[in-house]
Amino acid sequence: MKYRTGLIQNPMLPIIEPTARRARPAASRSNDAEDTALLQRIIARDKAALAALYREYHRRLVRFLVRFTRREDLIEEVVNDTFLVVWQKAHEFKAQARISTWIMGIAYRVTLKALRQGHLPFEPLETEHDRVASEPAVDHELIDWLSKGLTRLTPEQRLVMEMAYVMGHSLEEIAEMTNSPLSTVKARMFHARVKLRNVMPALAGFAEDDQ
Amino acid sequence: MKNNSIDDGSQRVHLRVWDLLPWIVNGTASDSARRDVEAHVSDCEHCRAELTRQQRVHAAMNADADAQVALPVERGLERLLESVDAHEQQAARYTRAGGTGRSRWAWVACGLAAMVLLEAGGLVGLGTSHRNTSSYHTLSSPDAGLPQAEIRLVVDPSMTAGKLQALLVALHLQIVAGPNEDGVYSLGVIGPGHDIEKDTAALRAAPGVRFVEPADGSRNAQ
Repeated sequence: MKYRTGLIQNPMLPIIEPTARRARPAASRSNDAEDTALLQRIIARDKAALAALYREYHRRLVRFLVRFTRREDLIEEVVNDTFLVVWQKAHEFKAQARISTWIMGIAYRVTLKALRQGHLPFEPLETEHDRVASEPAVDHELIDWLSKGLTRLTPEQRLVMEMAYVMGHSLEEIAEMTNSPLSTVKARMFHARVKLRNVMPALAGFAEDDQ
Repeated sequence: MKNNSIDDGSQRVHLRVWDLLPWIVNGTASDSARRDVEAHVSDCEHCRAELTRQQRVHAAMNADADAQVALPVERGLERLLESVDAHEQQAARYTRAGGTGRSRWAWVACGLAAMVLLEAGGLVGLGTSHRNTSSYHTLSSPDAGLPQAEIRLVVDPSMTAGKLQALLVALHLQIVAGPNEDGVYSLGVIGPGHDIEKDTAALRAAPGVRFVEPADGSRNAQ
């Protein structure tokens, strides 16, 4: 994960970790020219181009969706619904946008709809801690709290938080993906943070413990 | 008042920093925002605590995110392509059933049709409640009933509702049915003396028209 910071290894870092600058995430490292060429072929009904774009974005979308459900069938359904829209709406893509942003925007809307309809039940994996046990500095208690606390957010608040913290998107990118003003994205993030703090005593207290 | 102003100003700075913290934490904030936050949190214990809190939330969420499921990409792709094929076959069935054009234009045409009808004053059926609900027509329809469908039409998404309406009015044509699932309108003529071939040619020459053909005159379309 190129856009993760080194904070897990050193949670006691001072104020702002200088290396926390995002290496451009996978979404931004994509070759825009190649994506554009693929989209042009998709508009011309070239299924091989659709397959190429699908393979390029599959891992990224799965990483996003696995945060909401562990059920592979549901994840695959959302990914495929997203690409069905890509196939059907390719001609509506506006050239001034990034294709990666456009695809994530479609995934956002498909996921939001599924969350609102209760189609993405969260089922934590029992083996999660086993997988991250090799990182001793990871706060397992906080992970447990977060996995529960995040489900208390509205779908919109949760999505903004995941898009920022897990997918590494900027405020402007999220505004474009969600087709929302910057102020709306900020407000959703603000309320998400406040709500998490209110429902998570561990989160309310740990920062002071570090002082 | 002065103290209040100072407090308000200070409060605004705290709120601004609070808003910026998620994008400081994920590394996407601008250099100037980063400098501003750094300067502020060096003096503000509360905002520094919030920064630490968000850094740990960020770290915890990413640690958890590493628990990936191994979803076979080729299996998913195979199913996607099956869905695409199913949609295309469905669209082809609609085409054979009386329409033409590609399905992507159908939805655009449906929207245009709705706008035309709304601009004309609303869906007809006002005062004609016994009509078949699938048969849309405009308020300009004669009371005696709709004319027979003479022409089938599919328009381009670049054509606005107003342009479509103006085109039809100029040629003394009106929508008598549709759009169907493929976005095909059925047009009837207003008044006598129409030459369908000429009307068809005029429509074909108009910008924004994707497809025109004479309808089977023996039946009302849609």
